[in-house]
Amino acid sequence: MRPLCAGLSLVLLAALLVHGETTTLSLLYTNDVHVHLERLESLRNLIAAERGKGLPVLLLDAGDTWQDFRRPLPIVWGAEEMLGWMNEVGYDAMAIGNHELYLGADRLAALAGGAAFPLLAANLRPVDSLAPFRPAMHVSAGGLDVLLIGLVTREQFPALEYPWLALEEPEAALAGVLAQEGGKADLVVVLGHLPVRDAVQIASRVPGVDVFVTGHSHEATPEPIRAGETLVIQSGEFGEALGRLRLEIDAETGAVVLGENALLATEVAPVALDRGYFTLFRILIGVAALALLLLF
Amino acid sequence: MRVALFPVFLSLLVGVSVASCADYPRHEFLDLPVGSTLGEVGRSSLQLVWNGQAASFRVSRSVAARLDVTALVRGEDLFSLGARIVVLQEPGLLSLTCEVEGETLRMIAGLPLGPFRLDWGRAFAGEERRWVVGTATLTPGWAAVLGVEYGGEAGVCPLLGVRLFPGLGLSALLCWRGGDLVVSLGGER
Repeated sequence: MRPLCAGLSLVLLAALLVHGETTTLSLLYTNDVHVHLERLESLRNLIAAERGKGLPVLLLDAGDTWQDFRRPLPIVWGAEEMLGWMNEVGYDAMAIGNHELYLGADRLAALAGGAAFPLLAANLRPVDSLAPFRPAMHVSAGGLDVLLIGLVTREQFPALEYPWLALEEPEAALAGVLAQEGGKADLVVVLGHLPVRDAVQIASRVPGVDVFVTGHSHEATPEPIRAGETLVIQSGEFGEALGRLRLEIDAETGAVVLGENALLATEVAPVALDRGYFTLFRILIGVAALALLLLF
Repeated sequence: MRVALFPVFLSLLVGVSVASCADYPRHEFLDLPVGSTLGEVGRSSLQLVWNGQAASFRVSRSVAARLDVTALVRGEDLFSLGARIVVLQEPGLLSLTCEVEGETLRMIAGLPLGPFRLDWGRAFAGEERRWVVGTATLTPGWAAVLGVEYGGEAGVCPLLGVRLFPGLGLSALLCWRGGDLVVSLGGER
């Protein structure tokens, strides 16, 4: 028995020497959940199951999660519900989407203050440093130093609510952060609230990004899209799937040697919307009363 | 004399606001009533308006989370004090703001809808008018303004304009208002 074990060990050692030592990391990701609260229970179970496998996990969101005008009931109270759930399941970071900006500066700041994870947006430049988000952050996962960078689309930006913000081109902002970081991280992940085609374009011009988690366009990428060395992914919309990208990273070179993606389907669970009905009714009455009072 | 003061106001405005823009400012009100206050205690806003005939200069300062005080200098009554208070604020949606300035009382409702915003209101006493203004952000740097004012001697008065946001805490409004071109510049600190 002992010679057999020794032999197997030698074979494994030889395999490691030939292929180099790799670290496995799971990126779990969501985007454009748009307060679809009925998917949260299922998402929670999938996230717990993935964590239960014992591999290092990063849980990320690419924005448009706390707000949606097309869903009048959840938007009046759903942002807090979403945030509480994200804190509970342990998100590591979230990109700001254009819909988060629609909440207004005060409410966004309040929500960001209650978040146990940072909000990222490298191309939103405040006129000073006191903003409820930051451009990028480092996290440690599986012994790797992971650089997370946030980007947000320039489409449908509510400039009227944020005259104090300059919205840069995402490509220039990303290049700026990477130049500042100087390639120190083992893995670079961009959380970009941008369509897949924009991410592919940016990744083909700005080298140094390993993974580009996208959003905004509500696309699903069962297979990662390759743009040079970058894997571009998106999990669809409304929390219908949890994205899981399993990465094997060469510990020596930092190169991604394997990227295996899966979109894990979620199920719908009933959600009580009583609070939403009440608040929405109050707002509608308020709008009608103020219109009558002030205009006629 | 008023015309001569214009460059002085302009240089004062730009000099102050560029030098010290700070954290969460809200709207630059310009001369279009918008249902909001500056929000953060201690924040100041400067606004200069030129309507082709006269210039006015307004300084607003937030003294409580929902209360601003304003000082207005203009040709007609030289100097007047005012206050603006948010009396209703639904979460992220509807707001109602009351503004008292000189003899005029204004009630202003605001409904932000992402890249669109609707403001409507009514002025009582001093001046008697009502208005509805829609603003649509078309690109990050500028927004289109479309609205109508009515009441008083002017009758119905269409309003068409552009708001510019260079992203430095400054903003500008170019607005055609019933035959007059209104230029308004503002900044916050």
